[in-house]
Amino acid sequence: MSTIDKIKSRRVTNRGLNKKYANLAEHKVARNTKIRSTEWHKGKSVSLKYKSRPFKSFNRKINKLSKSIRNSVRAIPIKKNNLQERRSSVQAVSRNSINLNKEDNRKGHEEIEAMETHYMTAKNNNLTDKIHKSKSKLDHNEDKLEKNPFKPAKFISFGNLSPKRIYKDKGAIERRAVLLQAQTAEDDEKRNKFTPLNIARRVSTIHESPPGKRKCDLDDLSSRMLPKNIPNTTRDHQMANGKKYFSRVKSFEAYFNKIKKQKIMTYTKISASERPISKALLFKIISNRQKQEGDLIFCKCEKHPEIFQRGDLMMYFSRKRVYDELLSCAYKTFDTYKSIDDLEKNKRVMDIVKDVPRTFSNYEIFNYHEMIAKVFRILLVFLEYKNGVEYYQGMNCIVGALAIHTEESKAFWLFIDLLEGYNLDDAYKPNLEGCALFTNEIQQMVSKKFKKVHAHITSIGISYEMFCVNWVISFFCSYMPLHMIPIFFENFHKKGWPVFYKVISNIFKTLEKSLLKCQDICEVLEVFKSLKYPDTSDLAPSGSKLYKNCRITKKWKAILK
Amino acid sequence: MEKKKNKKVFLKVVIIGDSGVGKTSLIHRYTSTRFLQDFKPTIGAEFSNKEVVINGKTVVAQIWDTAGQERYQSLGISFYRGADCCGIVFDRSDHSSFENLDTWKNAFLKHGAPKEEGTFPFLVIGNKSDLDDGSLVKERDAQQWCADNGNLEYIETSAKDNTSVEEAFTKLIEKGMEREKVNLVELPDRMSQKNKTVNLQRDVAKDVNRKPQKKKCC
Repeated sequence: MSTIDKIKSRRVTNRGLNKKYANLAEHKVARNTKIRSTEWHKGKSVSLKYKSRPFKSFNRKINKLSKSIRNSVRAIPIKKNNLQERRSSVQAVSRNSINLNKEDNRKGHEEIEAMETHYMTAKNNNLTDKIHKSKSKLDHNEDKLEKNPFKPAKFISFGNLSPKRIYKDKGAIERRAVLLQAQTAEDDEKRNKFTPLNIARRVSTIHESPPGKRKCDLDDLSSRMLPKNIPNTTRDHQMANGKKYFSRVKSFEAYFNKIKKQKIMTYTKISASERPISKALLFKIISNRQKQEGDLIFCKCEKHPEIFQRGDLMMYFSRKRVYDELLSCAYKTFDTYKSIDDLEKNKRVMDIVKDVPRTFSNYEIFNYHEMIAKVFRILLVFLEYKNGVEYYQGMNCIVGALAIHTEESKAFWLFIDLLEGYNLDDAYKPNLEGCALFTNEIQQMVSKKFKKVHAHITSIGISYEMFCVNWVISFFCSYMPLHMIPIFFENFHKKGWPVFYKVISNIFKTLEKSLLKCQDICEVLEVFKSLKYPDTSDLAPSGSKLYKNCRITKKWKAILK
Repeated sequence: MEKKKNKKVFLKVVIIGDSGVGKTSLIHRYTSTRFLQDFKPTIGAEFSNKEVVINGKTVVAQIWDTAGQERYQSLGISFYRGADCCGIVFDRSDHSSFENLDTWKNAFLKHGAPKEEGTFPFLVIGNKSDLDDGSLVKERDAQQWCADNGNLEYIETSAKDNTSVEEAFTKLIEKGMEREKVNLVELPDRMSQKNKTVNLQRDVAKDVNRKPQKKKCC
């Protein structure tokens, strides 16, 4: 039995863990979907627990419901009789073709394809005709909108109706078709009014008027918030990308290639009790057809009853788009602060403002404005995302370590997947309860594997919190030197949580001798400190060669093997 | 004979205060006589050591640098316990950090649970006094707050200019020494350190060593 297997088995059977996940039973269903939707959780042993049977039946129900809804919506533009005739003819052709030779078979298929394309074009033509007709009707609605923006026009309110009632209201479906086609409309003015985003805002009835989309510039903000002596541009563009000193994390790219296939983000309305800001949530596509960005769709299930209701109007977005939207929301909240005094009252933001300029300031890359602004933006978006996790000092290190290797939006989603996909959010529970569980686990592991060290340390009077809190909360990002973190992430993406514990056991292995010599609390903690890279830019060596050849990196290479 | 008189005394100094106030740079200034502007935010707590000779006695000060964010206050149970003296730092250019002094003091008394709540040696440190805009927290206000909270001492420092950083720490250590004279009878060097913590684990350690021996006999 390898060490990883041992840790795995222990992690499942551990009583403390069971308790921990018993508390999370409420979110079980939601979590189940996430784990199923992404395959890279396989390394994690706990995920096996969540596969429960009742969920399957639940899924089937949703499938049936969604099919019925979809058919009801799609079938309108063409008369039903025509459709049935065509379908039956197509089927007849296909039946005949089975008995023929291969060449004939091909011909039959071609015929079927031709029929289908013909059918599709006819459908489209019908649609466009109807759209042109209904546009004239819509103009009236627009006028109404402009006059009193607080009263939403008729077509907007159907987001709250049930799908059946929509089906009865024939006009509603025509209008919906217009909404879908609006993106390709030539008139720029109309496009501004009918982009899916704007509609989503109006549907939510929270936003009074859609603001013009802003670029992600931090110039106003940074002039107010960040210290001024930071240079604005990078000397070396390569350096900002991290090519020079840091090896790239390959698994990130593979991960995002997987995700491209499933665009699973939705952008919907949110209960009025919360702050008037839209929120992104994971939502699984059930249909086989690939949705395009900006598609409107009705909500089919009630996974998150606080936010979704069956029949709500929703739309699909790529992750990047959602990130941009959240960022614009973050800027909006910043606009509400009239002075810095206002801002200082908001502790959540001020914590970030204080921490961002001092993330990895010992590395040259983080001494430039671009990187700092990047981390700052990601953390602001994290505040907007609001998945129940509060900001802890040390998160800035994780975000900084991710931001070197990928784009902004990708770094953000990687961070969120660490929290939600890998359940790192357990560490960030209030009063550090989750962190205590992690330290308990570490203590158990060490007491089994390194009995002498454990006995020696505890006899001196050290409690594991003194050094474990740093490891857990910053996910090793503030303990490990920055240039060694990619190796850690690479392994973690492949094998999951066992890697985390393996690193800890390796740390103890390398420090075993020096730990046994210690006779004080102070000496023990200084031994742990010896693996840390110097905290400040003055003490840290600069240049790629020094990074690679310094003593600490050699030690860490042995640990991460 | 002189060497025997100079017994080492271990003192636990805890330094608390809001985040970004300059706790870490103060400590770094004191222990390594350098000023460095950008530190990582401390997570959990960090630790440094310094030997000082005060009144003919060599004192080893264990200085605990704690995290400033409020969420980490629940860790205090393990870090504040057994402290001999406590320095509360605030940023003179940041008024909100001055207003939070109350919460920090209460949190320390709650989690640290020292024997004498009324007379426990605190020192209030106003840092960053080199940033002189005229909008700094005034000495009067700070002195008044100290007078209201049991005649605490107040000192103004600047880690950047190195103004009265050493004074602040020597004051802290002296106060801790006075307290120790009252509370502790003289103990051998390292015993004094050990006895502050609970010794339950020591028995476990012995058991671990014994068990395999017994098995061999059988």
